[in-house]
Amino acid sequence: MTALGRWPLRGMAAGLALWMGAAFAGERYRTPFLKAPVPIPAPGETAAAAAARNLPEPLSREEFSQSPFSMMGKLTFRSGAFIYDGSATLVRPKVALTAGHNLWDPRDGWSVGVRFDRAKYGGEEASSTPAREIYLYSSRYMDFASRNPSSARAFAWDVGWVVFSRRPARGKAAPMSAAAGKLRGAREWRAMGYGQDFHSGALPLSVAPTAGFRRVLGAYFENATYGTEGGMSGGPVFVKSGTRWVVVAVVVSGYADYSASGVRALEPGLVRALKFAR
Amino acid sequence: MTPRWSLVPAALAAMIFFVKDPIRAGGPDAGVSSAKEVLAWAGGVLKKSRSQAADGVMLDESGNVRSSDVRLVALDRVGRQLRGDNPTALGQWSLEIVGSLTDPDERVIAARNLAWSGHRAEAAKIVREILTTEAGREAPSRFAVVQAMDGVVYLGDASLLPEIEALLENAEFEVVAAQTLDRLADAAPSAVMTSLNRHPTWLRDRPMLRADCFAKADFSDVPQRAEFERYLLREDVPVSAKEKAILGLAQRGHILMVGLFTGPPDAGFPEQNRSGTAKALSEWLSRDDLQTLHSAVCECLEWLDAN
Repeated sequence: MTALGRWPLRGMAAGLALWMGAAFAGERYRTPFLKAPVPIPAPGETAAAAAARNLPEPLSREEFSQSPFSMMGKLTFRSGAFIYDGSATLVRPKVALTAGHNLWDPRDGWSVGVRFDRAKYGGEEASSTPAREIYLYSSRYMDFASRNPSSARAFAWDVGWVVFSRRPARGKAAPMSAAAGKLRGAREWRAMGYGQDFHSGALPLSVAPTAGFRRVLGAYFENATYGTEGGMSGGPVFVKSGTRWVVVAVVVSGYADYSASGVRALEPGLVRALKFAR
Repeated sequence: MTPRWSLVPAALAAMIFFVKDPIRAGGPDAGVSSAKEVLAWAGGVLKKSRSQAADGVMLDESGNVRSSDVRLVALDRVGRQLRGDNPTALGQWSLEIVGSLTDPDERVIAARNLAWSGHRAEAAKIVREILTTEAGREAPSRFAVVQAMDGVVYLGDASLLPEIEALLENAEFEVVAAQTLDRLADAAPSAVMTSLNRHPTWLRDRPMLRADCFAKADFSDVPQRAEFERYLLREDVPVSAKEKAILGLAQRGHILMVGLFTGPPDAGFPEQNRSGTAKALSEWLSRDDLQTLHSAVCECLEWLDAN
């Protein structure tokens, strides 16, 4: 598993980022820095089988303009010496939910310069809003917390949110539900975000898991029926509930060979804590 | 005869229900006697084997202890009951029993009960002991160490910073220690900043985490602004860390955690005095001794202005 959000974007020379890539990524998030032309086959797997994996594809402009999908956006932030891309979703008029590792890490602390570009599509976005405050929700799953950032024990607490002074969608927000049960069974899901392994990071991507998720630890679930790209961390997992789409989890990890992905489910305590967000 | 495990929590709840009235109506002695009664019953229940794995003892979303060890649950529930109904009895009972407790999980809950009943020095002593002795063991109780760190936040005790810093080097506890540091700085910004300036070697190896502690400063409090400025003028601090502390003023970060001592997050953080922050930043732009930081100051002012 790797964390997917910390995708270096700009501000550093690309060459320096690539040079730093191996050591930096290996020690910490192992987010792939180099764009691979095709999915990486797992040991013993053929290239054709790897290519047939269920991977994210860009949403059409028409589909993305529908709410609540248009509540998703790109999150840009600075951590340490790098600028990164991740994803986030507006779940309250002034609050965007994202992966915790986009906002904080145990060595560099809080990210700075956090900005949310809602409904970014190509070179356009519906709004670009700077964060006023950022929150990490450690929850009761802190008992699991581990130094290894690419472990289930790290992903179990991996959720946070960004608070704005302004309303990025004029008061609208995506509905959310703290029902982890909705990650199981026979349902329709969509995992979304701004992926940058096989895509530019400028378009919203979507992938539909074809079977339910498996609980690994605490609020951390995995699913081996789809892959996600670097940069999608913090993006929403929607479930279709009746006729509407509801956010039930946040994308937090992906296997390096794109054979599986991990999400951090929402929980009642988190939804309650969101009430304190001004 | 081994009790049916599923009946134990219900039996415990029933016992607490029956001692509620004596606890409420009676004085401290009656409260202590009721608490002892419940704990004696819990101690008599055959313990299920309790693993030291991460999920051996946990908190639920309200911060209640969840465990197959009924004594732990009893210590927690009775502590909660007494805290509301008879805090004097809670202190008296906790002081009486704490010396006989050897299990680190029991000791951390007892420390919580002590802290809740106002015996902060005794609580801090146990917290410190768990952070040093227990955390250094080959197979420490994660629950005890993690919750002892929550105790540091509850107590707002900046004198425990060296213990937290030591845990940053412990692979098992690094993440929680880093978060504890941040939460402690949120809970007691003045004490933390003063301690860090007074002891320049503290967190020397984690300059960015130290910078985040200073970014909690409330500039409407003159001493806090003075500590922040003292930090900016320190020659041992890298410029990149000072810049981070300044930029952190524009987008303040907060960590929310459900803890044994602190419970679930039940209130927001105080609203930052953003106009006071902007005023201080503007004044720094005219100071020659902060010239190397002017670009970060300008950037921070831009972010504040955008909000």
